Amino acid sequence: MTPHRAGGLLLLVLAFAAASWIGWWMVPAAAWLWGALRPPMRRPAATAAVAAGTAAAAWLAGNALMGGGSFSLLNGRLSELMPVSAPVLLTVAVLVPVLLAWSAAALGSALRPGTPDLPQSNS
Amino acid sequence: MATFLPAPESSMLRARLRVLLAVAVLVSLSLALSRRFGPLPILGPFLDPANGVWALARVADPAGTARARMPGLGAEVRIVYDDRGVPHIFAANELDAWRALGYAVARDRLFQLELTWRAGAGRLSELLGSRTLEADRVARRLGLGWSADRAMARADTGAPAMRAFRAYAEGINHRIATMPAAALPLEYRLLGKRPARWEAEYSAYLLARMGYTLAYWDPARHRLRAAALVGEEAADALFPLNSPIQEPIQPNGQQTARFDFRPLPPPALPRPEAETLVRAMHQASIAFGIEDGAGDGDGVGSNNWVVGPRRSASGRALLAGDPHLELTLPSIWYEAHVVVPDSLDVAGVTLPGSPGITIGWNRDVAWSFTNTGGDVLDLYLETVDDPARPTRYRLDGSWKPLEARREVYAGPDGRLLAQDTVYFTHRGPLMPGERGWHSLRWTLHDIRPDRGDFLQLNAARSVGDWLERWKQFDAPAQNGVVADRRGTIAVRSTGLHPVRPGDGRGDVVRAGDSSGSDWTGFLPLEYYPFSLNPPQGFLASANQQPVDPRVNARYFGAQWPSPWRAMRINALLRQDSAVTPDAMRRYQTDAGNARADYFVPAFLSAAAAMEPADDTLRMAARLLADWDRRYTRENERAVLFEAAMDALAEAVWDELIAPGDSSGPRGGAAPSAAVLASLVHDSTSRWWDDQRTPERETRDVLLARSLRMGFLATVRVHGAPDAGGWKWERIRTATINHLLRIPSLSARQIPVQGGNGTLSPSSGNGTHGASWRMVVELGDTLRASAIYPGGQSGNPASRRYDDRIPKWAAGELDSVLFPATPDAMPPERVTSILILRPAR
Repeated sequence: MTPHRAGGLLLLVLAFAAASWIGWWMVPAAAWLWGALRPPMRRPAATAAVAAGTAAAAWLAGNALMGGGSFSLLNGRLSELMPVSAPVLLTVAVLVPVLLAWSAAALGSALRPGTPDLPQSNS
Repeated sequence: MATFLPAPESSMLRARLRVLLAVAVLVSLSLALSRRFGPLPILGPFLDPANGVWALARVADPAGTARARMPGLGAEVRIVYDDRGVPHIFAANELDAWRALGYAVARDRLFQLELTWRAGAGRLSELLGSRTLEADRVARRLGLGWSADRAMARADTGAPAMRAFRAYAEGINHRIATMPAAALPLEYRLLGKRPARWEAEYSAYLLARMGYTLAYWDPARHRLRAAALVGEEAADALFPLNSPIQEPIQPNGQQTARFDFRPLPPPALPRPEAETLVRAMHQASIAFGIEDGAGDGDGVGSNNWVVGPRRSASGRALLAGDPHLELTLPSIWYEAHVVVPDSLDVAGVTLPGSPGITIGWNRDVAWSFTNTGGDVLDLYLETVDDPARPTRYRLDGSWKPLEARREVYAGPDGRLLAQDTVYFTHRGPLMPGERGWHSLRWTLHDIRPDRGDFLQLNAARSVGDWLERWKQFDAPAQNGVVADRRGTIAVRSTGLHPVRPGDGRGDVVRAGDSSGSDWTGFLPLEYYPFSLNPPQGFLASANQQPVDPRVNARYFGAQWPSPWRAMRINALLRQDSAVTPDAMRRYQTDAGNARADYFVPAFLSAAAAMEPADDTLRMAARLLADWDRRYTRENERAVLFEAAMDALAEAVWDELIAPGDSSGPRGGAAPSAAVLASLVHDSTSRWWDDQRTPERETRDVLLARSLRMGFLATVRVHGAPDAGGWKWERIRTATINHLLRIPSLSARQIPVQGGNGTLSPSSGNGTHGASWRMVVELGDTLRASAIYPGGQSGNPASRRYDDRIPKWAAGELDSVLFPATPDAMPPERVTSILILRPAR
């Protein structure tokens, strides 16, 4: 990965982190926008998915770091509270933005104005 | 992949499929994340990595110094949190202090605040749905919110308490308005709701709700039920006005408990008209949600006591507070310390939802309460014009209009769940029963929250000052013990004590068609049970009958809890002439039991009298004789005694089992253990005969049989005596449920010391117990130690959610900080600081 591309990806991760801070529904909105903006990258939908997943993982890691023992304490309680264990919940928490970002970016890319033909939309 | 299409067309198809897949994923996920499925929360916001549930870990235990601006503040307020999570609030004036307290309580207990006011107002269903509809209906039928609204509407809006309520509300609302998304409490996330704005009158709802918890039972029903089965005279003896064992709160000059035992009249023929009344009352009681009775009180109850300088090791006054309530997570209490120069320096526990310290201490005075449990509620059988749709009721020969109030119950989505019309006579709310309509007269409808009784106590400077500030308190009546640093001690049972017409008794249902049945007023203060610096040098209350009827025969209530706890604490204090704070702490969880001291010799004597005894009885008697009569966690004999006591009550009170009733006479419907104790003195009473058997039993036969049956039942349930199954900690545990009864947020099966009748009693399911324990030594320097089962934070991600439970279960107390200024806080015990400044 070139430094230029890595920098772009980092910016995208930050954008998804900011979107996530506003609300979960902002992740697909941001991804749609990303897909529609003709990003100078190959496979924009996959890139969006990676960036959104990274942002989600970063938020969770931040919660764990800032919460210290509270994070594991909370996970223990959630495991009893929810029908699935905490590791599964954490995985879902990362997978959800991945799927939202991929699907929204793919659509944004495919349906952007001036798209000549569907096969040209890289994903 | 094999394809029948040319390459460009195949590529086109794949792309179209990809788009279709993306649409399907996006739409289905978006729908799934924004809707509720069964008991699951709305998953989108819940699983949001940034501000979803995991963000609660980020905000669980704030550290460092934070600053915020708050509208309404007159000056800067500094809140210093210590290592127990207790906020020490340093403010320039009292209203700023209550604003800051509201903010601090909301920061730690926001969901509890909302649940509390909704419970009082009967509006839980708007948050929790139809599962709480019946609780809401009871609250509204009882007029909890109605009486609180009425009291607040009549209040002087400029009264200091009203200004404090408004300031407190401002603090809560500022927290709600400025709370970061990450801090939204877990319960709101689970319910998919947002916190509602707090209004000043909600503090009155909280007080009404406390009244419902502490002063809502009626002794009439038990007595009537018994009268229906065994006649009036026997019912009066089984459910007496006065306790057969007198160890009152107001000392009567005796050095030990007095046993006023009299032979119980034999069971007589059933009284059919009483049965009719019972049925009518039963319906009304269900509608009003009236408790079946205060019960015997052996399994629940509060304690407090004070020791004067002559009997303390330090020569200073000591005070112990130990209110027992339902145990919840988070706790019913929140610990705080409030300092306003030249005005307030008070610490202890506050009820989330009301400004002020409810139980605690300042530099001069310490105080605590137990529930008086007096009879402050009566039912009246009313005559109405139309039993189906009443509009008027009969009073003194004419028809009076009923006040009608439409009650509408909505669900979380705003949809109508139900609607009722609640009628009121001049006495109070009216409800239909099988045989007619009953109205309710209750002291809680006379509350005056605007007087701010608890707030006034916070600034008391001496025992005399405290008593003066407390004299107008209305409901629920409380036994308040107080001590000051000059060594004065006192106790008074303060609250509205109704004066009834005629014989003055309240354990009856009165006819409502005459105003001559109405209460004629309330007892004046000089008749309240009271003692100041008694010669014995100490005072104690444990929910027992507050005053010896030989000293003061006025009616305060009936069917008082057996005074086992009072006997025990008085015995401990009488034998200790140099009491220390640590001894006070140990007494709070003392494992001794006056009830066992009374009944065990009776069982053993009866077993010895059975000749020839069978092997089972001999074994049971040997095991019981081995017992030290203590309810320690490791004890392996208390279980046998409890099983024998259960079997005894079942056999003795068989006459009180109504035809077709399979539940038996135990529980609230059975006479108290003190009445059973009086029966033990009468070996040939007709009550010893178990009418379900052909032979005629005597006392010893029934006691021995109960011990034998208790032994067999214990072996059947818990195994052989010394195989480990009889350990008390395996049998009686504490259960601290989350407010919504969510198991993973609750603390269950906590082994604790104590049993029926001990100073730290534990009820059968362990859901009630010591909600706060404190010991205060007053003097030039005040020393306090305290604990409650739970933690300061309502956030389950916080270590302070339940960090106090292990020490509480072990009977230990925390040393409490009581700094006069922020600089006096030991720096190593400061965990965070919040500086609130006036908004520009």
